[in-house]
Amino acid sequence: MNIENSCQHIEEMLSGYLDGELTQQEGQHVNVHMGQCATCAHFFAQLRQLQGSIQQTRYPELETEKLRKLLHDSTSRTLQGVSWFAIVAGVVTILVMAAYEFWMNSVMPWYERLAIGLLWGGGLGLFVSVLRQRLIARKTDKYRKVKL
Amino acid sequence: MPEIEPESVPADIILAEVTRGAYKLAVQILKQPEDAEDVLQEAAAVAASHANAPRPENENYRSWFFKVVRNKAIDRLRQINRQKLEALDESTLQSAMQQEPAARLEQHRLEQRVKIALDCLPVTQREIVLLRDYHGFAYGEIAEILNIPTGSVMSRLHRARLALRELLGATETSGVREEKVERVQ
Repeated sequence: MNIENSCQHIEEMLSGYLDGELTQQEGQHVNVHMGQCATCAHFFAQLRQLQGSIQQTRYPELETEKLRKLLHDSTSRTLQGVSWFAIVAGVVTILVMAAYEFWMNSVMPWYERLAIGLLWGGGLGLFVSVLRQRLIARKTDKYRKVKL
Repeated sequence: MPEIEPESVPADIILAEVTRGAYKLAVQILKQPEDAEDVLQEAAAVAASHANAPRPENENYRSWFFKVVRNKAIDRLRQINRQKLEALDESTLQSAMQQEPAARLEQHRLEQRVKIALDCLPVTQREIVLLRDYHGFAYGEIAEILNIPTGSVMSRLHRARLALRELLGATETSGVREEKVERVQ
């Protein structure tokens, strides 16, 4: 392989060499090439300088108060999630208990209990399904903020 | 001699460090601190509610949280349609440079030049350069954050560095050219 072809092959590896991401063999290969090729060595020096400049670049820091608020808010949100879970679990338990009580202790004949139970069950099922659809749409609808 | 165990860093310190770093990534992508704060808030909500979120003590937490922030920032970028600002070219870079007060210190000017050149890169190139050179992520972590194959990180990063180098070289050359014209006049 002549030196020009070798340069083309080496060029992309220079970034990997700079970042210490090459295998030992590849690293040695690049090292040997740069010892013989001033162009690639110069190019590598430029890349290293560029990396140094980027490392020194300053960006605005997140203010301590905002950070504190953000982390605190995350905790609140976790608590909110747990609280919602507790509420839903409580409601479900009450519904199951009520259905059991109604079925076991009612004086109504079984077919009346069945009809009332189906009415309640259907209504509840519809409510849950609409609620679910609304929640999914709220999360995924891209156009929810578009005012018609 | 008994081996001394390395002291573990408390979770809240790790959390604060990661959040600070992720905020900078959001600023670097969005260029607006206000947007970055919103994005960070959304990402923190995901971190708090996501069932599979790693714990802050987990070594993968940093790259996981950066990935969430990066994705949220890209979503926000699309939402506010700021992409047209990404199509900046050399002339935009020069005009941005001219807005800088001439009396700034040389070091500060160099830093500003690099920063402006970074801002002029397309977001896909800017984020990969910054994830490696500013935030210090390894190639494997970058692949995870950007959701790309590890094997393509080196080539993409190299192309981004070349583009950045070209942008900086262009301003340098044009700066010299302008100086010469001024001297002749």
